[in-house]
Amino acid sequence: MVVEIQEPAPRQKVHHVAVPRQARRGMTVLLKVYRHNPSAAGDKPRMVTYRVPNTKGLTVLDALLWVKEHVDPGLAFRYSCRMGICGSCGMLINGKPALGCETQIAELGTDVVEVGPLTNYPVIRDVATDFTDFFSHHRTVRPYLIRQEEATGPVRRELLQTEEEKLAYYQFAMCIMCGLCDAACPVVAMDREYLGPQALAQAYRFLADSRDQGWEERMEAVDAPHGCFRCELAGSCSAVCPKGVDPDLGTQLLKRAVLRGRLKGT
Amino acid sequence: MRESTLQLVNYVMVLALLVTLALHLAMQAFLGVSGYEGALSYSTALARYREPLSASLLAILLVAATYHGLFGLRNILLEMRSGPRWDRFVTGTVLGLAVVMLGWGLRTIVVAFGGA
Repeated sequence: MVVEIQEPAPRQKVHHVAVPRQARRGMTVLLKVYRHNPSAAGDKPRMVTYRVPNTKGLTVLDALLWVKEHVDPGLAFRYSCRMGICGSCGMLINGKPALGCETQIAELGTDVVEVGPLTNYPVIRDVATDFTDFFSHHRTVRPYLIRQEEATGPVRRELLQTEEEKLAYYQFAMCIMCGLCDAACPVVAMDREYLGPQALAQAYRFLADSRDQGWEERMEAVDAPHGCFRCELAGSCSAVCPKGVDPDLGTQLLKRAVLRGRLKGT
Repeated sequence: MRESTLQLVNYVMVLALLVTLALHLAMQAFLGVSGYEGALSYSTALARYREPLSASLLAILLVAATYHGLFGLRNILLEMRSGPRWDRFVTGTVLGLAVVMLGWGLRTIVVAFGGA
């Protein structure tokens, strides 16, 4: 892999940019970014290093935006809300899947930061990855409330829940679909058909919902050769979740529910 | 067959394996024989095959170990490639292996039990 350092172009010198005082005193970070455009013939993966002025509270996403604005407008990465809500800016930061907007450079404890695309996803370009399979797996588990009465018409009453019933699934409803759990999962790395921790946790989220009646529909996807029983309990999905969701717990609870259902003959 | 059914059978086989393997090792080590050396002699082994209890234990051990081992092999192979054709190929291969292993093993137990 070729490593090259790209400084700002002469016409975009650092002192022309609104660089904070710390940066002018030499406080910079080296941002090593994976660059690759698979659709361009002959383009090979490489790490390109940029010198970025370090400021208080600078996040990895801020650093990438600085590079895009001042050095290389062609740098591709995905982002939207910049506040850990949308889940768009998942990337590999110093080898670990994380959200770029939630990871401050200072908390990494180093002034050399490596940024790459999420593992287990095909690269579209640079840090941007293709989530087609991820969303397909998510849709497979039918991530919505299924009511049998809807077949005969719309629901005409409120579906009430106790606090206890809500807590049975609540943490799994916090998922923002950033895909970090699937990027960290060793089974997803091996098995492209495996539903993955995100989809399985969402399957449990709806199975555990007292208002849901979609057991049979979800079992077709979950109780299958590439369903919940492929989970190998690595636990890495839960370790990287930026929202504190425990997809591994969801998967194990799902396995238990499926096995109990089988014993009851459902 | 659904994956949960296979998994449930696997759990039952694991329990059977634990019990029968413990009994098998105990019989080799200290139940009725004087240490491993005596237990592994040809005449002692053949005599054990001719006892109904030992032969049954061996048969259960064989079935449990075969199922557990091949179920694990199937899981590993399923992860290696994708597609329904591969899934069917793996399941078919594993079933074929099970038939061969169980057929050969049970035949040995039955023949030895019969006094051949």
